[in-house]
Amino acid sequence: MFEDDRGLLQGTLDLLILKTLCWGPAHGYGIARWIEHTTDDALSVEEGSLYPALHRMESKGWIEPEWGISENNRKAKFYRLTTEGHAQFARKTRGWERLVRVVDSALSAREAPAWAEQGP
Amino acid sequence: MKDQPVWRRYARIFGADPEADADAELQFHLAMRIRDYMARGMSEQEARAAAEARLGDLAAIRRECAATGVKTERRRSRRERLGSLRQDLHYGARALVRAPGFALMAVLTLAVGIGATTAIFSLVHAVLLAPLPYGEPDRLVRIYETSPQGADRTVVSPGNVVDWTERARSFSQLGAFSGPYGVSLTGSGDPSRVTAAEIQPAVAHALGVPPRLGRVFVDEDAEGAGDVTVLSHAFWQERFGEDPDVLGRRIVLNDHPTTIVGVMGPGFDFPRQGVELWLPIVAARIDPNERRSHNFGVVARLAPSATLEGARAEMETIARLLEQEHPEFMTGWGVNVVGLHDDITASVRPLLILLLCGVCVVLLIACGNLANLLLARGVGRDREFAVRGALGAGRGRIARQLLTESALLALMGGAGAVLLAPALLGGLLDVAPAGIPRLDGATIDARMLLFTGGVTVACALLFGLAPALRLARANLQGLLRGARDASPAGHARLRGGLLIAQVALSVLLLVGTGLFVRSFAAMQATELGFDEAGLSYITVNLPLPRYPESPQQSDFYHRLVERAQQVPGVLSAAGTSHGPGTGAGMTFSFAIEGRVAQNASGREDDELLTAVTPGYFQALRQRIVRGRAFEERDRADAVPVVIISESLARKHWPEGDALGERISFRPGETPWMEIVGVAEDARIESPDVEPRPLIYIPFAQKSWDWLTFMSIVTRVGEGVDPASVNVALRAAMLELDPDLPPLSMGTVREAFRGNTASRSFAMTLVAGFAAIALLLSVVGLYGFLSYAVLRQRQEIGVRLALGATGRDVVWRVLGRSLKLSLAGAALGTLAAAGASSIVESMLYGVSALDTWTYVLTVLVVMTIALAAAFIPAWQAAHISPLQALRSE
Repeated sequence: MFEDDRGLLQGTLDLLILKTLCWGPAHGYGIARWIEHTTDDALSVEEGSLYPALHRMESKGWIEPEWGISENNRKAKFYRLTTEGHAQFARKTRGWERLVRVVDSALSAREAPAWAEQGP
Repeated sequence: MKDQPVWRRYARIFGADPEADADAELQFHLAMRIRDYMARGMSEQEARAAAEARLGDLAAIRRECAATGVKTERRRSRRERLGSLRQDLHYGARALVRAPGFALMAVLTLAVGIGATTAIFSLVHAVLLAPLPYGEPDRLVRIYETSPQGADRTVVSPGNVVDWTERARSFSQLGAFSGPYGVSLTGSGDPSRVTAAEIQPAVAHALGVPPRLGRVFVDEDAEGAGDVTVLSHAFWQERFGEDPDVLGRRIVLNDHPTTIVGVMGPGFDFPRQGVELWLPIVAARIDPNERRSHNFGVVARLAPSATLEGARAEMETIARLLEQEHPEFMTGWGVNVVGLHDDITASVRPLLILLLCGVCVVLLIACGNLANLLLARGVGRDREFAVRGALGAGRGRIARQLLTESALLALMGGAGAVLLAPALLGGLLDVAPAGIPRLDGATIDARMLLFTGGVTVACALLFGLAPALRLARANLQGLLRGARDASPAGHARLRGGLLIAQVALSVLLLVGTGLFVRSFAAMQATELGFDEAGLSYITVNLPLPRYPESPQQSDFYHRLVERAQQVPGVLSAAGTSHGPGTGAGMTFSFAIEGRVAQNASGREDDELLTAVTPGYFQALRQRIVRGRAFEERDRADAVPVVIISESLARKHWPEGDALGERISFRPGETPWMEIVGVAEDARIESPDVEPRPLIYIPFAQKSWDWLTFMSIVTRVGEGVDPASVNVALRAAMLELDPDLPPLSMGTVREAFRGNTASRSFAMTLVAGFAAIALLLSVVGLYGFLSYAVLRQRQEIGVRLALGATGRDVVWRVLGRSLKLSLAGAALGTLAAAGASSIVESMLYGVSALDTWTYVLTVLVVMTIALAAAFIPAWQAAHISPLQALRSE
């Protein structure tokens, strides 16, 4: 949907990452793949912004890194949600839902503004 | 992931490496993506290209991630450190609260040690070390004459001032000054007396300090009537409220209207503190031919190319020349050139150095006490550390925690010191005698505060850490299992040694105090030769223009003395030209009839002379040992008579009787005067100055017209206020001559106190130090002993169980205390004896090795040893053997 844009908005990227981690700890690649997978590849995560986002959230204390072994025996950096991260996720989700509601009601408006000409 | 070089792997020991981490993370991502692409059928090369393209600018991403990682890392370690610091503080505070006695003593010791040292040092710094408030002050010198008798700080005669100004090349400016003395100020608010000094314009130029308003004196001011004045900053503030329009206004000084032409800036003083305004010395006062009376101070600035040595040499040459040109006046007279700073501080330097030493001693004792306190406390905590070690605390952690505790103490002590030091300094300034120069500028010197703070804090930290250092040697396991404490014996010896040192230092101070006290007592007990109780004086100087000749002067003074006697409350009054307020006397040489003296001039050495009114000896209650005192009949037209002091009589007539002998100041020119009386030696200058031989002549018979000044001394009755008598006297004076205010007034006792002030100041301070030192030592001794008893409970319990009596135990404790104290006393006595030469100059009437003082000091030390041991001994005697054996 947002392919023509620079990519996902930063806030929504954060939201998606947080959601991904709700399922459990994951490494950066895994997060990228999951987002592609659940959005049917519609949101191709611009990987250039994924890792900076991860590090940013780590700095803010929303996620916690841990080095571990990946499924194919490679050393990888896993992230997990902290308590603060969970709270942030809930907050952001509510915000997103509110945004969707508001935009939706704007888009499905029937009344024309005073300055518009007649006709759709 | 690309291979890290081996050493990089271990670099992690020094902390996380965000750059490498980011790189590793991104490499992993790429690797996974490549694998996926290859799984879909791409070749490795294609897969890699596609993966890298998809990722984007690898370097930029890595940089950004690394930067964020660094920030995160920093934040995390800071939080960790703060967390453990908070823990340490919390624990340390609780530990201190649980031992309030220890904490209080430690904090007090720190506060007193640092605060007292800083206060004293600030004082010393302001007086001795701070530069003078003049331009390039190290180029300023003071020039004195040296008399043939060896007085090397004699003020200068006018003729010499003129000659020096003309001839000396080593100085860019040279000028004379006199004062400070009092002048009356009328016509602007209440009439009052202000302190003034007179300076030649050259002095202002020499000092090189620009005025705040207006100008300083110029040569024209000295030519005319001299009715201009420059105000001091303080005076301008008080009297004129810092009015910027004060220039050009006139004030009436000594009944002369005077124009204000300048105001100096704050902090400027010359020649001493407290001078409120300056007046120019008019040229008429500097008689180029007058070389007998010495009444001017001379200050000069070295020329840019001159040195002090060169200036001295030049002045010597000039002095020799003058000797040749004016042999009758200048024979034997020399010159003394001294740096101005040295000159001002010379008299107080020994005192202040003594103070500094005393303070250092107190600081040492405080550090010793602190060390002892901390060591003693540390020894008892082995158990605690063993437990904590078992629970996982590393040695470094325990050490850090101990350090925090000590730092807490240091912080509190430092805060106490910061509060204490200004208060102490204020107190010192209050009790400081007036004679100490430049005291006004004393403020707490921040650097000294930091220095002493650093010293004591370092001491605190060092000794606080000692227990942690011992952990390396102690067997923690054994401790936990209940074995006896593994403290090496060396510690107890160290603490004992510290205690001995403390006692030794206290002894040093005590001896000093004792010597000063005895000095003081000796001074008080000194026979003054006259009765100073109830004596006050008022000093007058008649202006030559209106009283040009001796008869008029004598007439005035006689009438003044008469009026003085009529003032209610006055028992007797008399006048003298050499008394309190007139400064040092004049010296004259004389010849004895029938003898020829050894000196080149054929006359005897110069001796002091004073001219007195009849009734002088009676007023002062000074005994006439032989012959008679002066009477009314000794007038100008009567037979010239003279009275000499006992010491003069002894000097020149050791065998025979001086009565009836005759002397003359200049045989052939001045008449022969008959000695009609010998008076008791009187310490009219100061109780601690040996009375010098003195010649008394009746004021009515004096022949020098320039001898115009006199101190009118009055004895008031019991319960009469001398100040009110002086006021009445002043009124009487103004009745006789309304244009004539007194120069200075006061009581003789005050004048004396001023002279002995620095000695009593030293005494008070040293006594204060000794008291502090004693207190600290007692506390230290008590702590040491009570702790020893505590740690030896088992042993004492065993002894008691095996049949020792309570008395035996008490004796052991007392014996220990006495042994330590006597060792310290011995050491201190040796040190005091060794340092005796330093104090010698400040003592009076008692030798620096006075036996009584030393004996008394040792007795005091033994007493405090017993006093400090009292409670611990009592505690030891009451140890229940059963309990002692069972516990531990």
